[in-house]
Amino acid sequence: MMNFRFLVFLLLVLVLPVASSFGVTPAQRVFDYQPGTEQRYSFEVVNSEGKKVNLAIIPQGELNESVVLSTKSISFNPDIPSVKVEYTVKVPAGLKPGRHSADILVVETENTPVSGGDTYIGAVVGIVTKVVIDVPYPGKYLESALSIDSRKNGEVVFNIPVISKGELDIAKVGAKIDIFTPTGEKVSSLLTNELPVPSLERRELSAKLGASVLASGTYRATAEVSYDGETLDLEKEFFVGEGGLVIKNIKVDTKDFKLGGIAKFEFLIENKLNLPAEGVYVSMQVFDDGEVFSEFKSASYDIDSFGSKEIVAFWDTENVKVGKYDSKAFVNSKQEPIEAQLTLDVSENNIIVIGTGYVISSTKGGSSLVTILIVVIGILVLLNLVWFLVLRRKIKSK
Amino acid sequence: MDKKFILIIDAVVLLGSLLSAFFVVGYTQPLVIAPLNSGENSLMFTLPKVDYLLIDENLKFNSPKTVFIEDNLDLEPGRYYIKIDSGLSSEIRELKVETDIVLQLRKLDEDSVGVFNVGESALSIKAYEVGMLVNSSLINVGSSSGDGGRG
Repeated sequence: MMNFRFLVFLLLVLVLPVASSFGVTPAQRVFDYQPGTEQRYSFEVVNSEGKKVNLAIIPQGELNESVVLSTKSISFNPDIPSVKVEYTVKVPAGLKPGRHSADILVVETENTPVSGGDTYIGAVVGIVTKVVIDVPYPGKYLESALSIDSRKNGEVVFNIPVISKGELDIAKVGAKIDIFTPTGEKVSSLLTNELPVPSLERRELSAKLGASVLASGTYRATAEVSYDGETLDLEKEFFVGEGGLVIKNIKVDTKDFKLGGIAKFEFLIENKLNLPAEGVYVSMQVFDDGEVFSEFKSASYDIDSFGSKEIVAFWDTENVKVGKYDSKAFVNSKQEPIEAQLTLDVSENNIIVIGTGYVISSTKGGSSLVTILIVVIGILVLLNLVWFLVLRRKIKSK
Repeated sequence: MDKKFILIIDAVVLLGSLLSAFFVVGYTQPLVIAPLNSGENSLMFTLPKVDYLLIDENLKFNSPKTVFIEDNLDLEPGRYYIKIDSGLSSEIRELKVETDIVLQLRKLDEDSVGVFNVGESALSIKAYEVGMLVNSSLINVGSSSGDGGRG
C-alpha cells in the first residue's frame, strides 16, 4: 500500500510542471519551531481561468500527518474565483534541528477518489503550497552562501546572505574573500562588512572589487565567514570579462598561389583569458551575391592562457573567379564564436584580405514617417485656415 | 450652418494637428538632446599622419583619386579603398558607403589626421579591425573648412 501511495505521489509530482488553470498562494509558509502547539494558517486556491474543475487537497512529505485540512476537496464553478482553505499544523515534539516540511498538493481530478481517501487515479495537474518548520540548532549556528555578480557596472560584487539558525543570537559576522586564478595563485583579498545576526534572522554581507583589477578569465573565490569564534567556508567560481579569443592578424600565403589552386590562410589568434583555450578552430564562409558559395575550416588547436597561435586553413579556389568577395571568419571554441567580416580580393596570383575599414550609412530611419506627418500637419493647418476664412465670410454676410 | 457641425469639424482638425505634432516631435521615442559623440561631433575616424590619401574603387589603385588635407570628397554608395602612405609603412582600409556622403580630411595633431563628415546628414559609422567590430557611433554634420574645392 505504501509503495502504491508513493507511486501515486510520484505521478502527481511529475505532472506538477504542466500549466494549470488554477493557482495557490502563498507558495510557502515558514514558521519557527514551537513543539506541542497548533499553528493555524490558510492558503487560497484561485480559479484563474474561471473553469469548472474538481480539486483534491493532499498533504505529503515528512510532516504530512501533522497537517489537518479544513477540507480535502474543492469544486470550482466558473463563477467562483477563489476558495480559502484553512489548515492546522500540529507541531510535533522532538524534531531534530534543521528544516522540516510538508507539501500540500492541490491536484485537479477528473472525477472523485476511487480508492481510500488519499489515492486519486484521475489526477491531471497539481501545484504545491509548502509548510516549513525551522528547528533551531543548539547554540549558535550559521547558514550561508556565496553569490557573485561580475557584470555590475565594472565591478565584481560579492554577496553573502547569512541566516542565523541557532537558538542564540550571533554578535558579529564578517567574511574574508580570497580570489584565485585557475592555477591557484591568489590575486586579491577583500573584507566584507560586519554585522550582528539575531537568532532565526537573515542578514547580508557584501564586498566589491573593481573588475579592472582582474584580467578576463575564470577565477575561484573562497570566503571564510567568521561568526563569534566559529568559521564557515564557502567557495564559488566566476568569470570576468567578455570573450577571450581575439583575431590579431589574417594573411594569405600567396607565394606559389595560382587561382584555381589551394590558398593558405593564416589566422593569428590570441587568447586573452587566464586559462587555456582548447579545441579552437577557424571556419570561413565566402559569399557571392549574398549567398555562401564556399566554406572551409582549419584543424583544431589548443592555445595557452595569454598566448597566441597561428591557425592555418586551406581554401580550394577551384571554380572561384577573379573578383571581390564578402566573407565571414568564425573563431570557434567552447566560448561564443567570434565573427570577423572580411573582404577577399581575389586575383590570378593573389588574395588580399581586407578586415580594417568602416561601414558608413545614413542615420535616417523614420524619415518617411516624419515627412508624412509634416504633410498631414500642413494639410490640417491649411484646412483650418480655409475653414476660418469661410466662417468669417459667412458671419460677415449675415 | 449648424453650430454643432462646425464644432465637430474644428475638433477633428485640432485633434489631428495635435496628434501629428505629438508624433513628429517624437515624445514616444528617445530624443537625442546632446551631441551624438564625444569630442569633435563630425569626426568619423582618424588616420596616421599623412599629407594626402589615395582612394580608389579597386585594391590595385589603378585610377586613384588623391585627397589632400582640407579637401572635400564626395562619395556615392559603393565600396572604396583608401591607401595611407605614412613614410615607412603603407596601409589599406576599406570604406563601405551606403549613402551619399561628403568627407573632409583635416589635420588633428602632429601624429594624426581626421576624416570628418561635412555632408548634409548625420551618419552611422561602424569601424572594423581585422574583421571585428570595434566601434559603432553616430556622427553629426560638421561645417566644411578650407577651400574644399579640389575633391
